[in-house]
Amino acid sequence: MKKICILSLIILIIPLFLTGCYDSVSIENYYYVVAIGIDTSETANIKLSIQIATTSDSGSSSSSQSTESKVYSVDCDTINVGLNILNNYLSKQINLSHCSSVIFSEEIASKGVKEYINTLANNPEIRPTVNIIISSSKATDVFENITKSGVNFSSRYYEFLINSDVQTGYAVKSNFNKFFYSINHETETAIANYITVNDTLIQSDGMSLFKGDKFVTHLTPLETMSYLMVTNQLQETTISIQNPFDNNSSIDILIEKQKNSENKIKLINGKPFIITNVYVNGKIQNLPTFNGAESTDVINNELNNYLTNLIENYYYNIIKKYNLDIVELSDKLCSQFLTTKGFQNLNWNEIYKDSFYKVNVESTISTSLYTKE
Amino acid sequence: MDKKISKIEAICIFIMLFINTILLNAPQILIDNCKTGAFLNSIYIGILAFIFIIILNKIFKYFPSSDILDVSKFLGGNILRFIIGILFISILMLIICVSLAHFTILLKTIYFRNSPILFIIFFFIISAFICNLNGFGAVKKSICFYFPITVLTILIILQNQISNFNFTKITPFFGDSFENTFFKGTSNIFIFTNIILIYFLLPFLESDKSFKKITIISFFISWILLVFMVMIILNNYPFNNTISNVNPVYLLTRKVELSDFVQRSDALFIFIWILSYLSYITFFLYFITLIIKKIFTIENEKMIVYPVVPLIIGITYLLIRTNFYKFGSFELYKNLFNITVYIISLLILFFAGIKKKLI
Repeated sequence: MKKICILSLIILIIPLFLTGCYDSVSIENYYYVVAIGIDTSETANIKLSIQIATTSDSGSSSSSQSTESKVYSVDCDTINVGLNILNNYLSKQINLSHCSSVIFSEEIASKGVKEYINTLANNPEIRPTVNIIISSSKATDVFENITKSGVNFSSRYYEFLINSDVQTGYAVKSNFNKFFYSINHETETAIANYITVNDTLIQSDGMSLFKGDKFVTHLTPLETMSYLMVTNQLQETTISIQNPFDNNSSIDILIEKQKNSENKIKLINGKPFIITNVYVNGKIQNLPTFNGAESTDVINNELNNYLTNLIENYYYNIIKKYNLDIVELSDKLCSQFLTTKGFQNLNWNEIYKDSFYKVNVESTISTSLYTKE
Repeated sequence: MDKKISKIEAICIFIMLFINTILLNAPQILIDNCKTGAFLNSIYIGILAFIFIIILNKIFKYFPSSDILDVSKFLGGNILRFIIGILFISILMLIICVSLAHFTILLKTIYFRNSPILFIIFFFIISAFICNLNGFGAVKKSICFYFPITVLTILIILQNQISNFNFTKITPFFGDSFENTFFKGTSNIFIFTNIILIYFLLPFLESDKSFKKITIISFFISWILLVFMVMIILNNYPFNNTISNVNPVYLLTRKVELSDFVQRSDALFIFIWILSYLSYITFFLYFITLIIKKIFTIENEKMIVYPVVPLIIGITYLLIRTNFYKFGSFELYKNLFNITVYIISLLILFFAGIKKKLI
């Protein structure tokens, strides 16, 4: 009897595995969006563009990831409506799970991005690691230029674009998660990548700064490099300083972090006093004439002065000019209080612009591997 | 013999219940109440709960192999046992229904957007129902089976985030105010839902001597997990965030990256947590049937599962449809838990201890 029961059960279960999955959704049913572009529109609230990676028909592509891209745009009132319209006329369903970047034009970003970011944050397909990029021109221009440039488009195109600059110290790595929480935070400044579009060239050009959810300005690559140095994110970069032995030439120095930078903040007469200590190693890349240890000291001093000026200029711009706290100094000062109320009574946003600062750079110079010391 | 649990099994069950509480948003509740003071608050309520456990250990020494229902009967007869039983059933029902409502909504939001909510509720309840029909052996084994992988998921999250830890994010230590963190914050002690188990643990233990060790070891591990999770969440998500309704512990899984090879592993985490949550509600469902059996002196506890399950489905569905699971249920549960578990039950134990001494 028991055997019959077990056999019946097996016979009942086996047909389940033999049936086809009529409602299964496979990879061919989706359009995987690589980037989303959001621009201003004349006829609606926004112009939503999506860039989709499509496999090349010729099969000439050597890389498994190399594809071509197609761009679809629609004028709509909200992102979700835009996606619905696109879903309606595209043959496949749009999927955002492989979206690597969200690009805002500078124009729309300066009006505020909270609405769009919050909409995307509610979409579980969006990864927390998606890059937020602000473009000097329209997002559609970025997509068009990529198509025109003839480069082998890859789903990791934007990752390569930004990462290559992160390694040179000219761009920051900003992600959706951090950006989302920064624009919803009282004192934090949201940062994003900034790209410029010239003819057929797209290049990373420093970082964008936000006040609340509104784009305010962008920092130059050198200012971005200062930011990376101050916040311990600099991997390595090459800078060019005046040759102290010859006014007509310059010295290339590869700098990298020696140890973590220190940012201290204290209140003096009700005004924040910021002390930043930066420690770098420098490797001389080119020097026509080199006279041993004495020369190293001179170059070291030159490098110290150069970096100190660079970081002081950076502080001047972000504090006095833009009044933006991107080094999260408010968090540091807040940690010195026992309660949040104590910090709130300080009125940080008001006193921050009166901050004064001192920058100390300690560098250790050596010659590069192939140059004899 | 099937109803007895070993020392290790008891510790596994105790911790597993607490891990599920963490996964069901317990750290965020502390953060919402105390802001950055949640870190100190988690330590503070842990100390209070620890003192409470020590007191329970002292008093239960006078009542070997007894649970709170036996002690109530000893103190006030069947009437007191009935009242206490009903209070504990209410708490357990609320734990199951509110947590089920939250977990179901989370799953629907993230993965099953087109599935009817009742299907998801049925999925959990039917599994718990079948497990309970197979007796306590199946209930405890299901918990012990999923315990290692569930702990592993928590450890992976901690390991992944601990390197990004920024001390300034958990400051100011007292949050909004000293009062919120320590006076009002005392009520957050209800977070330790697994303390409920201590009241019913003794009859299940192979030896009464291990009671103290089990409660203290498992409580300490649970406590450490809570403190770390609060720190990690505070570090990642600002306390003033009122926009995201999604469970922050789930959001942390989306950030888990094991080198460059494993990314977007959140689905795997959710899968493991579904299994872990199944064992969680299975266990509480068993305790509801156990209490009903005791207070109504019913012989076959398995038969009690049949009427309880539709009740849970109905209440959970009602909570979701009325949105009561989001707003009203939380305060109700918090007050009921604190009054029953930390005040009434302690008083009963205290007076029963005096009565025992006098006899």
